[in-house]
Amino acid sequence: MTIQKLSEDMLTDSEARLRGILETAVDAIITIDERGIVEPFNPASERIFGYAAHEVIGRNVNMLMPPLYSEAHDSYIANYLKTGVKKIIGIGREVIGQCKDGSTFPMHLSVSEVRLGERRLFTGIVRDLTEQKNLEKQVLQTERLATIGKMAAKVAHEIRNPLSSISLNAELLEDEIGGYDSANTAEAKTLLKAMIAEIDRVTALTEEYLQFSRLPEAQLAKGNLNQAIEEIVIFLRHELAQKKIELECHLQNMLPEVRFDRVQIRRALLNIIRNAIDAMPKGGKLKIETEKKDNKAVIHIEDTGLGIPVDEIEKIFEPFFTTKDFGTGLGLAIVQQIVAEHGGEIFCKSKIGSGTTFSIIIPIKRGE
Amino acid sequence: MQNKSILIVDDEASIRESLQKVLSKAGYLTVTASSGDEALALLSTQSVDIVLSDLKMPNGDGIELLKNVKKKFADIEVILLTGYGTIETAVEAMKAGAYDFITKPPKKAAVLSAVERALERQNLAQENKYLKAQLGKSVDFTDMIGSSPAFRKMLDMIDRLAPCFQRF
Repeated sequence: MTIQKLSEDMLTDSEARLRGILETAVDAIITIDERGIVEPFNPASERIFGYAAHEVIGRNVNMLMPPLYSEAHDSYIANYLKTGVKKIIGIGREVIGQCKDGSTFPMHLSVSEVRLGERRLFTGIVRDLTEQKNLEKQVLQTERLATIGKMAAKVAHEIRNPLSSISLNAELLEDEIGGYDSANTAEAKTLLKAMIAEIDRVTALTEEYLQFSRLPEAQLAKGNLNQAIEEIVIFLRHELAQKKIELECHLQNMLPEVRFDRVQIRRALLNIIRNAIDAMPKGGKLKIETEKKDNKAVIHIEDTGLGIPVDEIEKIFEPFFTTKDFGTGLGLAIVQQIVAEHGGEIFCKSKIGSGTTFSIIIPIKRGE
Repeated sequence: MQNKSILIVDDEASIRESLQKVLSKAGYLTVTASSGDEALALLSTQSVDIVLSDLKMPNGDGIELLKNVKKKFADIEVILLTGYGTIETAVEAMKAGAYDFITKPPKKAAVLSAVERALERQNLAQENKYLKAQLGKSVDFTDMIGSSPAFRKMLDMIDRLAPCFQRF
């Protein structure tokens, strides 16, 4: 065997290994030249960015970045080649990537530099951080909710004690005045009635705070979601008719049973439906649908109400966010908490002037 | 309801005073205590029919007081007041022997009706106890005049049937 043959064999061997790594890596591995032109684009890159390799190879890598980053990218390379100051090479940092469909995602990028004779190549390893970020966000949200819950409980409790004597004293005063029926006491009686009504309102508010803070763990039992929805619909029929809201129900017949807490799901649906009713002050249409999608049971609640502005839609599940005059801002936060307790998810789509749809997704456990 | 006495236990003076006014206006005698310990000390020197206590107090909570009251003064009915009525605490309180459970802020009507119902039950229990004691007194037919077999048989039957009527 000649030395040349041996070195050729070694090269093929090392190439095969390299290809193996590129093809099986979980992370996207993308190599670019000095001009930013993409050379190899491994299968993980295809999966993460949604492009086929041939759509990217030979084009500038900035097609994988949102506009703001892509504009800066060329100058980064140029700057590095000129000054040798490393901003990312060998360090790695978090940046934003852009998929074929235009959606963006957080990613960790580390770049290494390879010199091939006169050529300088840069290899970027991209790790998709979407899941990690979501998890972090969830943990943060859970912690936040727990803190808010504790605070709400403390505040509500502290308010309920003084409220007790205020409430009883107001009633005693009412009795007191009640004994003297004259024109002079009429005004006093009206004022007292207003006070007692406000006391009742504060009581109801603290009730909701406490409910939020002490939402008990869901007691999951196998059951029929459609049936639970029908019960609520019967309960609300009168109210809907009164508010001139037409009801349309499409409950899928073959919806498999799921494990859920009847009381809590009922409360969640009631909260959403009450919001829908409030969003249709002049009447409208409320549509409730259920369907089986993949291995999940989905409930859609659609109204033809005012709709939620784009800048508010992100905040609707945040505790204490409210647009109502007398709301606690806890209704949807409670709904989200309940859905999460069921291992499910909730989504909201809305369009100003045409209405809002909430979709609750509850997993159907395997074998059920 | 006259002369029935109610012990109000709450660490907050303003609540004690309001409850006291509500109950005394309704014709009850009232005493107050600001803690479970104070309440127990009072109960050993004074006769009380109903205890109306806060569930959460800095020195010993209402459940503890409830258990002590039930142990030492079984006839006294206890009503608990709570800042928030969770099913768990309600069940715990009922298991420990509370008669009723009122959430704060209480309505006057809720307090009065809970007290009335507790007194009613106490009344029934006392009556029941009295009747049982009456029935328990053995009636001896041996001195009864008459010795015909039929009469003796009837007396025997009365003797055997008597316990069945205790429940009425």
